[in-house]
Amino acid sequence: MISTGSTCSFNSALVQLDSPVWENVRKVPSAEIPSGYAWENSTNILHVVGRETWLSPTKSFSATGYELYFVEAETLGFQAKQVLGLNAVKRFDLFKQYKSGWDVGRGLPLSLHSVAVMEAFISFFNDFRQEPSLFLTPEGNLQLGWEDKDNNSVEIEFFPDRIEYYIESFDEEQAIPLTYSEMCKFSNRLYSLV
Amino acid sequence: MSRPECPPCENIARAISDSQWDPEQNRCSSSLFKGENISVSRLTVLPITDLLKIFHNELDRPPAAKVIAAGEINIGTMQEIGKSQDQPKVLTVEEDPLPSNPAHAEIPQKITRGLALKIGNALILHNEPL
Repeated sequence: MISTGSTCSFNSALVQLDSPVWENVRKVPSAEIPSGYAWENSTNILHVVGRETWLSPTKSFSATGYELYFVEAETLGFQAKQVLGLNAVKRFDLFKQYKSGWDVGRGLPLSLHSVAVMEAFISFFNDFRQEPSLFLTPEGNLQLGWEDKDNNSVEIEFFPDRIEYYIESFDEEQAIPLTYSEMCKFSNRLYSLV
Repeated sequence: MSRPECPPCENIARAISDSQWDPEQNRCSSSLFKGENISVSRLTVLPITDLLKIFHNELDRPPAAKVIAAGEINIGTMQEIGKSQDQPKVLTVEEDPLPSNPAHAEIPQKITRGLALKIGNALILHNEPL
């Protein structure tokens, strides 16, 4: 059972984004979410903001004490499907079939952690101007690529513990940790390129 | 022992799998060239049709993970892309023939995500015969 106290205790079912521990992760039925918490089924992500408030991470955020959780899933959530488009959904289904060793022995199968991180990212940023391309890296990570308003390349790879990116317009190649504040800052920079 | 360096006038080919290329959007992933000791093949040793057969034999993992094309680039062109970076990067191609692919060579330098994407975007695609 999920605790209804002010400190979240989710029976190891959910993972705090700031300190990912991925064992025993499962999707939690909305009926198990205590009153006051918000559960967005469409993204496979649980955003907990206090006990009384639900704020979309893409809108202005002024509350404190938030906690951000995400859940593994073998399928893309509704929002990801809408944003990425049919071509990416087809490619995602293809990537699920990749077996260990697919890239001359070194390729890893699709990481469900990476899927969860990409879903989290899409809940922050989802205006790609056109359908982005979905790729699978030898590490088993999902990767998105698209062009910004100046037709310069943007590429993002979703690791279980970080996001690595390249933004040609800024000539910038870095990694960010999976914290709420960093995801907000990063998505705001991407919105400036739309 | 150091391996012979291929001259800038040569062209090389890189196998492209469906995970690295989105044919519908005509975009490539940096994973095509990101990292070090990237495998390529010399077109002065084998023609593209022979290389595609080798790529299929070595890399196809049905039902998924298939080679869908080969990407060709001139070594000199690739080196110019490396030099044009804000932090210029010297790129070389070293001969590394293998029993299964006598045209095999490697780019030994570590290639960043941004540089890899620029090289990928400069490729000439060969997707026949499949």
